[in-house]
This record gives sequence, C-alpha cells and structure tokens, in this order.
Amino acid sequence: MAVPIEAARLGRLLDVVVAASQGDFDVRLPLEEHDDPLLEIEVGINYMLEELAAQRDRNAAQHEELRTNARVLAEQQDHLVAALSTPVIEVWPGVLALPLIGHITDARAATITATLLARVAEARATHVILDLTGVGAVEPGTMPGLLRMSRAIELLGATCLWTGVGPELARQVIAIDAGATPMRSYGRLADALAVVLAAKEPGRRAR
Amino acid sequence: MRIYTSGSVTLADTELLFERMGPGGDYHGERVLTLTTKDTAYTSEARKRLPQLRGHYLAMAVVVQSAIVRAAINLMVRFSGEAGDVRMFGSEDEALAWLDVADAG
Repeated sequence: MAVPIEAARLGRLLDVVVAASQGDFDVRLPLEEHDDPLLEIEVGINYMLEELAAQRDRNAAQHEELRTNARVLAEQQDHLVAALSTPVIEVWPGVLALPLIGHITDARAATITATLLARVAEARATHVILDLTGVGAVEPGTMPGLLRMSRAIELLGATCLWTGVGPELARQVIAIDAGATPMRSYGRLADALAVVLAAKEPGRRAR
Repeated sequence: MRIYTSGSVTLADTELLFERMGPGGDYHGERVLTLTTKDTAYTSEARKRLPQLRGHYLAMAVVVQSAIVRAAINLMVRFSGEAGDVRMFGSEDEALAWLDVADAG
C-alpha cells in the first residue's frame, strides 16, 4: 500500500538522522497527528534518540566517577609513597632512626625534612640517626638541603647522627660544606645506636 | 479493570499497575479497558516495563484519541512480541464490544 508522505516530513526525518549520526542526540522530530505508518517511525526515532541521550549522560557520569576515583587513588598512592619513603622509627624512647633507601631528589629531601622535623618535635627526640647505607645517590643540589635539615634537628634540641655515608656522599658533603657544619658520622647504624644508648644510659658502654 | 491514563506515565505508575495485575493481584488475568487522553506520554522506564505486563491480563482494549499515542502504544506492543491480546479503538463502545467477545472466547 503506497502512503503519500510530505517531502517536508521526510526532510525533517533525514535532518534528525544526520544530526544523530554526528553525535547530536538532543534533536527530536516534531510530532503531528498524522495517522500513517511514518508516525510510528517518527515516534520510534524520538524514543531511540531519548535512549541514546540517556546512555550518553550515564556514560559521562561514569566517566566523571572514574576520574574522581583515579584522582583519589593517586592521592592515596602519593601519601603511601611519601610514608614509605620516610620510614621514621622510634628505636628507643627519644631516639629516632631514618633508614633511607634509593635516590634522593630535591622533592624527596623536602618531604624527608618536613616529616622528620615534625616527628622530632612530636616525640621530643633527643637523638636522630640518619642512615644513608641504602642511598644510591643524592642529587648534587640536594645535599645542602640534607645538611640544613641536620642543623634544623640540632636547633630543635636533638643530636643528629649520620651513618652509612659512602665515599661519594662524603665527597659531596666536603665539596659543599667543608668543616662548616659539625657532623657526627658513624659507619653503621648499630655503632650510632650504641653511642646514643651510652649517652642516654651512662652505665652502658659504647663498643 | 478500567485504566485511565493522561499526562506522563512513569515507572511508578507502571509498578502500581503490576501490583494490581501481576500474580496475586486483584485484577490478574482480567480483561482491561484503557482510556488514554491526547496528552498521554510514556517515560523511557515505563516504556520498557509496560510490555512485561503481557500474560497478566486476558485481553486489553485501548481507546486512543491521538495518532501519536497510538504510535507509542504500537511500539510498546512490538517490544512485547505478539499483539493478539491488545487492540486499539477509537471509541469506548467498540472497545467494550471487543472485550465482551474476548471474554466469551
């Protein structure tokens, strides 16, 4: 059965199909009370566009949720990495030890300084042992920051002891600060700890 | 059972219908006369849920005054598969006459 259809109606239908195929799902066909089979197609196309727009909105909401989750995870990861890169341990009442591992950059040195100074103040530490045994390298510009941290610890009333300083680090310290800052340096963490305990408990002898 | 619909038919309206017409409902397996107004429209959720009513009524006669509403109902009937138990009419008398025959059959 042939059904006469206005060209204008077909034109509108094609316009909407073209717009939808280009990603515009907010277009709708104007519906009029034509009692013919094309009306069902027009209504169906509008329903389809409604579903596509709703799905697009749901996808956008899910995308935003994923981005938020990723941001939260990244922040949690940053906190975790910061905590793991600055493992301050209270090895004895008032004695803090910070065994450092890996490469020390400016940013990491800043984190270490902030964390350590806060812990020194919080624990009312008398001694801080900075163990560099596991440090592979310190960026050339970073060493002054570590030395300033050592001075800041002393200003807080605690004694800073360095352990595990290798030949390369020793050269860096001397190149920057030859003799200006008195440094207490020991070969091993155990040596520094023995000295500290002897100081805290005069009856105990350092080996 | 007689249903009057006008304006936007939502999922909540549809669920109410399922309570009455679903298994255990007062009108389960009955004949249904639905009277629609020209401004009746169905939300996306209602359009997806309504075809699932099929099988919960003996026959449904829908009186429509608008070609647009008829097109919308036709599409929902297509979603549900066979359309033998749903028929659309222009007047209530015709619809009731068809339901009487459906009852007799």
